Amino acid sequence: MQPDVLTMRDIDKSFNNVPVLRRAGFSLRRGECHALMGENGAGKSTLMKILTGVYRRDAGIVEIDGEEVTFHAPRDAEAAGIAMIFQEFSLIPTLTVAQNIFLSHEPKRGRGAFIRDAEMVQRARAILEEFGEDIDPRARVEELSVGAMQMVEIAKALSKNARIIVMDEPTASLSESEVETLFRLVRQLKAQGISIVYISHRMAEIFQICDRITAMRDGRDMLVAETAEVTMEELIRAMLGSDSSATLEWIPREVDQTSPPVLEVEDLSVAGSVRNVSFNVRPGEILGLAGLTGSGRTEIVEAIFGVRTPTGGSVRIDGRPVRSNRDAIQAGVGLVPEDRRTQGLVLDHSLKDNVILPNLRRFTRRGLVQDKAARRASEAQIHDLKIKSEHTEQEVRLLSGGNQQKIVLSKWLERNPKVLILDEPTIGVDIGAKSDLVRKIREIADAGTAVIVISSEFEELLAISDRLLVIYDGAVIDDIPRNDVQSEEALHHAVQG
Amino acid sequence: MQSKAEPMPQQRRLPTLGRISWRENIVYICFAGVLVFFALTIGDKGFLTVSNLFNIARTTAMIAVISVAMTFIISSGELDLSVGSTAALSALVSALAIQAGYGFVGGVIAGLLCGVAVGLVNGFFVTVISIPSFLVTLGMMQLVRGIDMRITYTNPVPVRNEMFDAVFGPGTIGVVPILFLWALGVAAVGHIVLRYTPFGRQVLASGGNRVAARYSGINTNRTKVICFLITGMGAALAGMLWTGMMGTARYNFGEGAELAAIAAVILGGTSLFGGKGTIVGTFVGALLIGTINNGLIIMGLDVSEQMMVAGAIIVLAVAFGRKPAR
Repeated sequence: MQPDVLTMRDIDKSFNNVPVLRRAGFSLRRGECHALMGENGAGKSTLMKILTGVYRRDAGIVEIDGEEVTFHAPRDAEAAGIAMIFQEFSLIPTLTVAQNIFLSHEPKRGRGAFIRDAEMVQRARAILEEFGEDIDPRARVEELSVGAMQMVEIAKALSKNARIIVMDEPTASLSESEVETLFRLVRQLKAQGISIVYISHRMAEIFQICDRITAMRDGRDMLVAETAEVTMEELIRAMLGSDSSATLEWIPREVDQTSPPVLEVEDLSVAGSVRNVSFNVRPGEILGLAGLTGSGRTEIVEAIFGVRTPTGGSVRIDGRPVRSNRDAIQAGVGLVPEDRRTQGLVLDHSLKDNVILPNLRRFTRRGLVQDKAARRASEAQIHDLKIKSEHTEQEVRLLSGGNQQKIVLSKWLERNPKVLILDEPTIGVDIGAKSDLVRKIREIADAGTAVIVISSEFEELLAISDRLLVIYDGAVIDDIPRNDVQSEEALHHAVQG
Repeated sequence: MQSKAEPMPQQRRLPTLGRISWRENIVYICFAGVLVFFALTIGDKGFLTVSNLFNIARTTAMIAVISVAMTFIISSGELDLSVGSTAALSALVSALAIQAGYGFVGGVIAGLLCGVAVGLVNGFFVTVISIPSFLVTLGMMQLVRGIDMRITYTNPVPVRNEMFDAVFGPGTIGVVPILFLWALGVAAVGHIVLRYTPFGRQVLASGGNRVAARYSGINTNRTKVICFLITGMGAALAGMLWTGMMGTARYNFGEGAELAAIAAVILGGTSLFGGKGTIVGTFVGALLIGTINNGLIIMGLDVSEQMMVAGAIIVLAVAFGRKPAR
């Protein structure tokens, strides 16, 4: 058996007195690909940020080659041979491949005043050739495919003599053939004695490429096993735990099946992400879209809302076609987008100004925005959604994630939407705000609005949905009434394709 | 994805009272300080006379009008450097139209159409072709100034029209210069539009977060084109005011006006990155710049020294008024 290159033991970490890691552990053998799994918020990112020197641990031990280490900055971790490949690549698009690979550690001459350009290109080529990939070191990074960019990221790590490479959801934006290439490279790296931490939700890939699996829950490592000796069911159980259903409970609802659907989606396609998706939603129904990150679920709702141009198919509200964002909003569609900070809010503006933004026409009399009416409406929303804000003029930048999300929701509630779409409404939201949001979603549906919810937290999805669409690789692979879903485990199984 | 689920490090919350009184009102503090300084040092040399104060108001009017328009484009997250050249273009075209016998109304319409034309070109390249507004309007600044020089081969065009003189001239109503009344009127309309109309909200939202504005159903391209039309027409009006003040249209009107206007806007507290704008601040910013120039002239500084002092004051005021780095 290979000796461990990395051991993390009893790691504690809290933010603002909220424990995120509780005696978490992780170990890595030489030349091993080790999967790190867990739901959002289980602590895997925090654990890896401690390993890469972004955060400092509160307690516990980190050993590299049997020697205890403490990293004060990412630079220290880099010097110890640890590199992280991020989901959003950290490459500079306007520089060449070689310049990116050797960024800030370029081969120099003349006492470090000049860069040895030719040597840099040659060394970059040597690394890339070892991958068996045909990437020109002189090409600009912005001209490369996503898969090639990832190769460059890995080459960058190797140029710094990395021995441990952490990959965060490496296949999220790769095509099938690019995934194959990545896996070949991972095997090659393993053969060279390099160890890989593979963070992913995609079990099929993990079973294909990883030697061992660690599953985390609530800031702890719940299960460590050889891939060959563990089943998907055991893994899902370890990640979810048994007490998980206690916080959110499903309340069966009655949906009038005789009323005609308010939203009809037919053969909807979006280039590169959505393939011939069809479904209907009735008034008062809550439809859950279950799928992995990158499955196309966000693209589907953005196409319905008209901010993403479909390449085929049709969207109808009350039988009338919707072709643009303007049509969609006028027909009564509202979208609480995935990223509230960049898509949902103008952060420097007040709560009130954000709430009235999609509703300006309604708050205008004789050409002027009626501030008093706007303030009254925002106050009503503050009260109704239990938004914790001192007053309506509060800059939303200063509010917590949960309160910000409630404001994005209230923008659309102000319009009494016919169809309300919520994309990951509870991400980064504390538990109190989460139950407020869930309660409100049910209330909106009870009042006759058709609701579509996307969530990576299946517990929550199962708690509020009347019906579920399973999305895989841009297509709807299953359409199931909530009643027929036996358990959260079953849903986790379903979205794996 | 994962990092979103984690608690964010505690955000820094500044006590708002201290911030409002100092940072957001820097332009008023500066203006008061400059007035007091000049009153104490050169008050006896004629700075404080009513006629001098109105003289400041008169000479500042054009920059004030352009600055008000500039507040819109900067609030929407863009920039317009072509305003100075556009002012001269509309001055010349309106003067030529009057000379050609189209009368006062014909001249004014011709002048305003110049502003509309430049605004549409700027708006088209920025929104449809997606070129940064800095580059588009930098090019237009040169191009239009070239047109200005070519139209009359740099010869001035005198305007002899009673109506034009009465409306845009150097005269007064009571003791208040007409030019200053124009500036006040434009500022008042600008303030209401930016602060209290749906269009104003759309401008601020487009500049504050373009994506969020789009996801709220706002046509951000349309909003920006209208802002370019506003700067074009504001510049056109300023050009005609310059003609009225001098009695003659010249190709070099508005040289450097784009920078003075940007300085006034930023001094006034509008964010250079868009999303936050105040017309009242802009107006006082323009007056501040005019007052500094006037005071320095009375102090007997020559043009080179005036430029150095005015430049230094702008840098310092913006530095103090800036939000602390997050």
